[in-house]
Amino acid sequence: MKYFISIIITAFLKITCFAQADCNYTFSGKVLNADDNLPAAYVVVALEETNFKTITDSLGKFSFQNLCHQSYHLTVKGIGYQSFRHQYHIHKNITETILLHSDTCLLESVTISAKIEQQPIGNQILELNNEQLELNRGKTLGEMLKELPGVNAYQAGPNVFKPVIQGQYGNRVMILNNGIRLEGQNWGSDHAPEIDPFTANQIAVVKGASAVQYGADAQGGAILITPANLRNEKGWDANFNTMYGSNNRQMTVAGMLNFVPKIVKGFSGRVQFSAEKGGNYKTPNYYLNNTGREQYSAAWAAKYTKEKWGLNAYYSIFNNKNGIFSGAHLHSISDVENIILNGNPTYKNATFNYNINRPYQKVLHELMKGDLYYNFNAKNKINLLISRQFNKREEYDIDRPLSDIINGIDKATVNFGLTTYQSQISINSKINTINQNIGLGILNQINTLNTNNVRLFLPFYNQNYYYAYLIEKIRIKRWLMEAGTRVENRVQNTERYGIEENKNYWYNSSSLGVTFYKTDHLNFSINAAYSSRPPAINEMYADGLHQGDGTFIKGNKNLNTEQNLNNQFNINYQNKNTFINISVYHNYFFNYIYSQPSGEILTTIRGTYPVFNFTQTKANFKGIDFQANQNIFKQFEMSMQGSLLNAYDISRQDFLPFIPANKITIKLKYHLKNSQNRKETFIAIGHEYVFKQNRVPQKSSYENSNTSLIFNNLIKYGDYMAPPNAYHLFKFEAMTQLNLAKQKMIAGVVVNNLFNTVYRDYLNKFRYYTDETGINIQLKIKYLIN
Amino acid sequence: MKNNLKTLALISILSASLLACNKDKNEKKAEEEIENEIITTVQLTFTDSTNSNNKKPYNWVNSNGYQAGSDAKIDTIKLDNSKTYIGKILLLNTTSNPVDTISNEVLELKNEHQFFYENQNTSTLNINFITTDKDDNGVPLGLYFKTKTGAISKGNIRVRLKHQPDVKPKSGNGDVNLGSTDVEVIFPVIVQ
Repeated sequence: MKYFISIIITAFLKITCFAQADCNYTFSGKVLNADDNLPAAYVVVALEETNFKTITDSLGKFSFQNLCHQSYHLTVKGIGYQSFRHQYHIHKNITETILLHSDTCLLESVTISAKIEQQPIGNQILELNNEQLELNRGKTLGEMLKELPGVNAYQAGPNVFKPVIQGQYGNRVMILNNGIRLEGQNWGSDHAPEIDPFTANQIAVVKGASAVQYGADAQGGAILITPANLRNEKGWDANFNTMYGSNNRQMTVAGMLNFVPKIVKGFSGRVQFSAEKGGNYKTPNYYLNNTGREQYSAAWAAKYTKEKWGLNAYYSIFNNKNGIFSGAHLHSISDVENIILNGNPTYKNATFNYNINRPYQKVLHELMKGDLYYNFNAKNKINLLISRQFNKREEYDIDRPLSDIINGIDKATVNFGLTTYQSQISINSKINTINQNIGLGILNQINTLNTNNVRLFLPFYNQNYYYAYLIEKIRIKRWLMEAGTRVENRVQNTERYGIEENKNYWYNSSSLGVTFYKTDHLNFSINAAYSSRPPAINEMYADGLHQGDGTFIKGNKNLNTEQNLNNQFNINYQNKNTFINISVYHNYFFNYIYSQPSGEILTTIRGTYPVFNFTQTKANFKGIDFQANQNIFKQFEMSMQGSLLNAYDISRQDFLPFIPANKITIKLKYHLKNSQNRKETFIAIGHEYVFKQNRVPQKSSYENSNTSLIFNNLIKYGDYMAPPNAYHLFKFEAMTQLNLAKQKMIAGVVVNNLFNTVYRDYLNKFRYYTDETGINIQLKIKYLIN
Repeated sequence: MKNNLKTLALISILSASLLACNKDKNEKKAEEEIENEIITTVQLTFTDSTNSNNKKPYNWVNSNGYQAGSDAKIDTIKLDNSKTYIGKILLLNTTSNPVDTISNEVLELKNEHQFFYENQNTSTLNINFITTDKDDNGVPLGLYFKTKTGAISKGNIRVRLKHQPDVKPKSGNGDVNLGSTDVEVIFPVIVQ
């Protein structure tokens, strides 16, 4: 299912043969699982020399027509199988039977364990296809994911995007980076995932329900970041990307080298890097002062494969420095009010530059992973995994001790450190049509912080997780079923101002999914999941003014484990010209944890603040995500996608705050005919309509007596400012692939906000202070060298 | 044997790189790292311009500073009617020992700070403020001021300190809408 989208895109391409005559041969066949000779259904079959790509039906069959008298390379790829590639000389109609071997000696076995062994069935997995990946390179992860239906992003200015899946974010969205759950500082609204998208060859989102298998913190879904497989053949290949974005004059370079040396048999390696530098962004009318960004990342990967066992190693380092719009970094609520009333005075003098001054944030993330596997036989495999992550987050507030200014001291205001170790042992076995995966693991995490402030926003903490999981997958004719369960124990110690606290939680998650393949074109799936999650450290212990947005947050130590029941129903239809995917979900929380205005007012030396408290309530998230593609004329393709969501606080009989507004996107695409050296060429125009979010909280705990604008808005909209109006955005895209002598080149142009529209988005925290960014023309070139 | 050696080498490289990672340099106990530079107290002192013995300080105190979790203790300013007072503001941090006078640092950074005094009830409260000191550009600073009272009345005054690095005007009387707010407190006033 996960390949459907990319298949659809390419399936619409109309192919013209290069050779003049004899283009009427047929190549058909059947793909079987070599282990049991059962049909390998829904695997991708492609002819390299053409754009022909199809997937096998439920009987494993495929067919290509109109082939010319020449040689073709056939490739077959499917989840859980080793890929197959073979050359065929076509001079008559041929029929072949292809045997696919189970991928038991998988290269990135951990990645794969996230992708295959743990891959949920009956659930919606959406993936950015190659084209979307190439067109969105140079963006942050959170911004890239917005391309997918049902996925949004919380923003804190133009550099910080935090993914939102079906209305859930932060502690309810798990990110698996190369099979390892990302452990960073994800609790703040201005904390983006610490990931360089260039390390990924595949970016996928598992929505809702069965994502709980990955752990308790995936109640909204999981994001899978997967690097490309390492090379198997001797030799090397490389690619090199350069990019330019006009809005903030951002330059990006990235490169990757894969190599298999002749000397060490079974060894394969990769090194890669990326660097980005951008300056101040521009809205249609003015520059945003101090919004530059810098990012440097590097990674290496290696594997050593023997017949029965193998060893994989991966290391990545991510460095990022984000300037924070200086007109949005405020400590006093009256400053916020002043800007809402009178506009932002920092616009006046802003010009373009690459400088990053206070306030800014600096983030370092390091991931080190090693795993060792052993294949007992074709059906049983054991895997041992260890990983270490280190996250450092430094926040440089504009506000610092005056004595530091006088003495020229430029220290971080807050400095958070988080070190996480994880180890896991898992066994994967196949019994007839049942695929079973069982695992045990332990995770240890230590958090430290360093601050100039007397008050500690978070305590010091360390926690241990112990977990066990079991996943069973069964295939019976046209039915695929999956059941998974996971038990976790979390032991948590915190310390602040000399007061220590210990907590111990037991919790579990379970899911059941069924997919029914009605015909080769149509399938239905249903998935139900129960999960529970202990409250996060910030939800229990946050205390103080959250930097930058004048919000005073208080944690709640009495929070209970959050439990939810998530049901999803999907319909998938696809044929030669049409692709439709509809997903309906109902996510019910018995005790949803969120922060709401408490009714308390705090008088400080900097003015009067509303206090936000973490609290629990019964909540309902009901929504529909849909996507449809239709081939209209020969070379025209139209696609539409959208997401609708209604989130309601049942206990308080009110809407929940900061829920993504409904959204619809339409795209019209024209494919140019291929020529000898040019293929996959298209131009496209897209239109996005985002509705006004009218479903905002209206039952405030504040009384209508305070005359301040902020408090009045809090009563009316549950927020400092009314939700912004609906908006239309237009986008232009063009891309082509050129074959040069020994290289391949992919070139693309993307124009975001084509008409330089002035708008504000409900999910952007900085909408109190500024418009969104204006037109951005991005040029991208990628060289592939073989 | 040769293969085993290679394997051993790979495993040692792997474990070596695990150890070679960045480490958390933060000490777990950070108490000593904390610099207590916060403002806990705003003190306004009024001296009768005709009788320097008639002098009284009024305090606005929140011992946790701006990150407070508790409410403030606020004095009510009581001034005689139809008089002129010489006024002075002090910002103190009483959590440090000895007490730290933050307003000295404001003076040192006078070109990027300004105090603003505002009568919030001009119709009922007969009082006005004129700042008397200036920064290097001749723009008011506000550590010192002159207060004139009128007839018997009461109401509130608001005192704000704006931190305006790079944006404080170089001429004129300043602009309260620029920069970020370091102090914003309200004192009740009785003119008796």
